[in-house]
Amino acid sequence: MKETKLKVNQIRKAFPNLPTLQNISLELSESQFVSVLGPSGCGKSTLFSIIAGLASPDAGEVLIDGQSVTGRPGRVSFMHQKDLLLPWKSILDNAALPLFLQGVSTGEARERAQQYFHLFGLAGFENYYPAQLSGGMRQRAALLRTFLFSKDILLLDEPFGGLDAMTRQSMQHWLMEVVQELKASVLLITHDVDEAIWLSDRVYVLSRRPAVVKKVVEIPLKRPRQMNLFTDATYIALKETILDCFQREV
Amino acid sequence: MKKWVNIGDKALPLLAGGLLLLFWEAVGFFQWLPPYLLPPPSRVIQALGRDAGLLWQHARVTLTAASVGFGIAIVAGGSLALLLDYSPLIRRVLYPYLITSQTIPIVTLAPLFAMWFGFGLLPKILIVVLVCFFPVTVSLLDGLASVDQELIDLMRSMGATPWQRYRWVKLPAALPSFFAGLKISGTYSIMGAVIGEWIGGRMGLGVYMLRVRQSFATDRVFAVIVVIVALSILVLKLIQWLERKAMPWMKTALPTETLPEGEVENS
Repeated sequence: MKETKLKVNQIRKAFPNLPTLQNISLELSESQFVSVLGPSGCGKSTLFSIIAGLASPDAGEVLIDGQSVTGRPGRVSFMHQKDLLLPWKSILDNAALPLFLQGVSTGEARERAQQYFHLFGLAGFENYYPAQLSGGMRQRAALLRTFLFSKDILLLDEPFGGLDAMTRQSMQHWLMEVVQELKASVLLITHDVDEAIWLSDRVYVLSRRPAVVKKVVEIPLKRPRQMNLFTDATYIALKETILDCFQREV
Repeated sequence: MKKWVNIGDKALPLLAGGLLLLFWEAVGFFQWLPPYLLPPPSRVIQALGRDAGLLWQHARVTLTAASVGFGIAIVAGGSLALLLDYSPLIRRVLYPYLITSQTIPIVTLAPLFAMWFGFGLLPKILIVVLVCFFPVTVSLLDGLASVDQELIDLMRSMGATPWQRYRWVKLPAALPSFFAGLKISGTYSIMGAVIGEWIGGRMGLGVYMLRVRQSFATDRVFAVIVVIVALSILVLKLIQWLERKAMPWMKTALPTETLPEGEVENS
């Protein structure tokens, strides 16, 4: 049995006159890939803000490695649909940003970030500015930055939402391999059912606002997964289960 | 074709300016207006050449007042903008006064400053500071406020201290707006010094301008104006040069379709 990395326990959050999250609980184990699937505007991003410690829940707690980090930022970083790279810094310095913030010396921070440039498909572009790279490359740089901040847990909030379909698919494929290689635990927010099933070990389906966990679906598909999985009978059955639950919500 | 358009961009304004100068010259040549009212350009150029040494001596004094005042305005205005950005409470208290201060006509302050501080360099510097202070403060304040809140959230999630948020995100993000303000106040700085000199003193382009006007040497008045314009443009160019040096990431964007995709090893 793998150890629990991240545990979200009975989180409740309401904005004035707008109950957003109601008793959300979820779990992420070591080297596991878990997705949170929900209709747009259901409060998924609020949930991530709470896990990252940027917002405090009204009730409930966030545990990482058994320690409460509720309402305290600085333990896990997240990645957005927007790459949020600093336009005035090179790709290398952008990726190494969390190390700079932790007080690592410039030379060492760059060296440590540089080691991952090949794996992240960024080799040779260290000294480019973000505006000089394509959307896919910028997202990979943003992922590397997230990884260098907290190597064990990655929070990804619709990371490929802004990319075109082709780039998106190759990025999903690449993400799956890279995460396996890095042995990181990933929590992914998405509203794309295929993306959720294809990448995950477990999928939490959220309802509309105020969000509750409608269903928890384990994805028993073997890894490494290939593209032909999309026509696999188990895959289709899983997709039907989720869609059935999901569509009553939309 | 494209090249021709580019040449046209520069040649057309030059041509228009040339025609205007020619017409102006003709006004003097055919004596439509007497030269003590409107001296033709040739006379102005002669005056420039004749007075060059004198003009330079006065210009140096004006430049000193302008650059010292501009420098103080940058430091003081920049600090105030940072303070107002950092503390919403102080901003609420001071911002209305900052805006109101701009409605005071500075020309009317000049004689008061002469009363209080005499006819030396100090009142001139103060006028320049007052003229330059506001654009610097407001442009930096706007720039600091324009930062993407999600970027700030990201920095917070990575545990950045307030100083780190300014150092990595807020200050660089504010630079374009800050430089826009610098260009405005930089060109005003020369004018501010000249206004300050009008109230009196021994040296400076403003002082010199009053003297030559009182002796109806209109061509020399125009020569001073040419020098003031040239100095202002020089300051502007200097700031633009600094702007390019300070923000090397601007002007690097390439057309989307030419952006590299990089190598991803998909199996």
